[in-house]
Amino acid sequence: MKSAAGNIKIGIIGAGAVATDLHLPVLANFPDVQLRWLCDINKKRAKYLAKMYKIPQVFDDIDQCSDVDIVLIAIPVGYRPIVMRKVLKRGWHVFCEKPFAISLKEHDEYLAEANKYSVQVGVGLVRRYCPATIMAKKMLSEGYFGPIVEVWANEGMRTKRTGQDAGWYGGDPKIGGGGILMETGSHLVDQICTVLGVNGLSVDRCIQWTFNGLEFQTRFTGSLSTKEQCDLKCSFEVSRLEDLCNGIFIQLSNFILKCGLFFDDPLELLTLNGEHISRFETDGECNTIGKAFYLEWRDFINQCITGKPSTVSADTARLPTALIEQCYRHAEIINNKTGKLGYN
Amino acid sequence: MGRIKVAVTGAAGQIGSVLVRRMLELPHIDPIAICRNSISAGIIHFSSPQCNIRIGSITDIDSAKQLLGDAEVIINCALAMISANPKESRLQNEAMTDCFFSMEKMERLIHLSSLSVYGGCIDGTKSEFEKPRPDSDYGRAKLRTEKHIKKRALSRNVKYYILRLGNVYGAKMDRSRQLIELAQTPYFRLPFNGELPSNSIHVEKLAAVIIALISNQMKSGIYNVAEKQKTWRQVFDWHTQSLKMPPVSGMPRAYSLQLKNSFRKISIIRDIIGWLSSLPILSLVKYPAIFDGLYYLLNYLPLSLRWHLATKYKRLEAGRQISEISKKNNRIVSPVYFSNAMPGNYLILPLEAGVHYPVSEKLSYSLVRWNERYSKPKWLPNSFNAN
Repeated sequence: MKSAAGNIKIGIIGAGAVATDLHLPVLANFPDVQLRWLCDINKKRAKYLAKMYKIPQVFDDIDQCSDVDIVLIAIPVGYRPIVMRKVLKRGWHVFCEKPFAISLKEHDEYLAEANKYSVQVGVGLVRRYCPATIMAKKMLSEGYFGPIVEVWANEGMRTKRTGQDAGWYGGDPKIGGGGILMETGSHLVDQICTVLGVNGLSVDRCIQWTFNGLEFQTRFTGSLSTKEQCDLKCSFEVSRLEDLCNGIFIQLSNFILKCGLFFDDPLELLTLNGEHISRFETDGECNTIGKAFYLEWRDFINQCITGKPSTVSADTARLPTALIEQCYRHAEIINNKTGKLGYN
Repeated sequence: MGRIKVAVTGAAGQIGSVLVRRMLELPHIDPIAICRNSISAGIIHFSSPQCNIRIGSITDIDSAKQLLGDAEVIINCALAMISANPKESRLQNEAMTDCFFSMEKMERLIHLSSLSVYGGCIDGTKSEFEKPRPDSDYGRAKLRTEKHIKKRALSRNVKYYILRLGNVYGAKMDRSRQLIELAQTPYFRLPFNGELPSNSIHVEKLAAVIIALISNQMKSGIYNVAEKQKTWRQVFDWHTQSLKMPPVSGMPRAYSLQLKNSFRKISIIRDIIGWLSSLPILSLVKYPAIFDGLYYLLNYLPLSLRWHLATKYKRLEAGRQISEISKKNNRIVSPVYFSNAMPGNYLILPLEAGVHYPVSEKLSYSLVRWNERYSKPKWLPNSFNAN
């Protein structure tokens, strides 16, 4: 694959919110990219989007799609296995929305298939581009602050409205992958792994609140290992049921480093009691999600051209997939009649 | 007397979920929580585990019959707000209302509207009870739905109550989160030292009032719902005292008045002039050719005029920088803190026997617990407990 103006042909699978709101606006502004087709079972919606973005072809069956260099897979994780295998077999490079896979086995199978067909695979774990994440990773990897005592992370907001009807994939644990840990927690877990440079992990205890098989809240405690430290105590919580203190909190000997989760969130220093001391100034290059989507596409296209791994290479997301899988596998489930949360 | 079947639409929302939880405590009410999907159903389940939950669409008549057909009372906490598509939102809200009035068993409809129908900064002389003037998409959607309900109510002999809710505060409420964040902001000053009416009501009190309305014989119509006498100072102090924070400082009266007038004088022309005056004309000087040309011209001006221009420029630049700081500070003050009281009828009714209103300590405790959860990162090991 070579890059020249309009030379990279891209196909889009899935005309849902993430493609509509983020991928298509970014790709339409890429100088080297031609959007060739859009494929979705909802052909009416796909046709509307194709018209808006002047995409020449619309399909509702992947088998009919013409050859392209790269495909974006932006369909729910539960629908993905058949699609992924078909796409890899055709030798198209794949950029896949998160979560990449529901198990490490599935993750590795995709990577092995990709290897077999000499195909590059990327995953849209876009928060790797958050300025606070990048700066925290740099500071910790260079050992400016000494050893880490403990790590806490939270992401939770009580869902007040979904704006979605009964058929929405997020309400089906088989299609959505399980619940909030898979949906939102995949970002949080990946940020923890990215910031700390995690190379191994184990679960001590995990509790999940589920209703009709769908998970709404997860609490995890376990140990992580990094290049510098083993058995690093880590806890995290994700929730749809409650407002939580969002961020990654890295406790060091004399203070806490707080890494914000989103693009305009800062990297801060807190006292051990959690009071604000100061914040670090980041370069601010990537302070919006739109810019981050541009950067991940830029890096992935470069990966496809050069064959060299990039920030978004799917093999770098194996540990988050493994940790999330272990959480679901080992969780103590709470779906009792009282449904009350543990701290009530 | 049998239990009254009460359907609550939008039951996963901030107010709907409190209503459902409170109704479950009452022996004479059989609440049914209505929601659109299984995520909302789970959220209702975890706050009200014993509740009868029904999932489906209330804009489609067949589905609505399944969900609401046996309800004697419908409390509507739902509102369709489709981003950038007010027409579609209106059609959905009308379809929802039409479905309500097609339910043969429905004897009474309680619809939750909002003070936003009066606009963001309420001025009772311009935005009246009978002719409110909303200034946001949300307010307009609420008002249109009110009108549609009134129109449909004429065709059927059912009691209807349209409640224009004030600012609802309490644990888990967005308004309370905003108030707490403001109270933690060092440069926040409460306009008029909080003397203005807050148009607010605690969510638990609101729930008690709505429940009382289920079997009350009040006349159908539109009512404002707020604790009429409560000022912003009282509401802020309740939050800060509960959380053991210092009280918020007051904004000087003259400055409060100046800001209030600026919020009131909303005009497109003023906005355009403001935008034009904010254009960085002076940054033109940074372009090398323009800088060179101006510099060349300046050399031909008399020295006194050059001094005059330089002084003027320094003063203007300082003023611009200062106004940037104060603009940043003012941005956090919402027009809502400059509002007058909602005009017109207020809902005043005695709380029904058995519908208790939690004591103040309990309400403060809930606020403290909620605030702790979202402001403190560490929840382990003491709280790592499944039951």
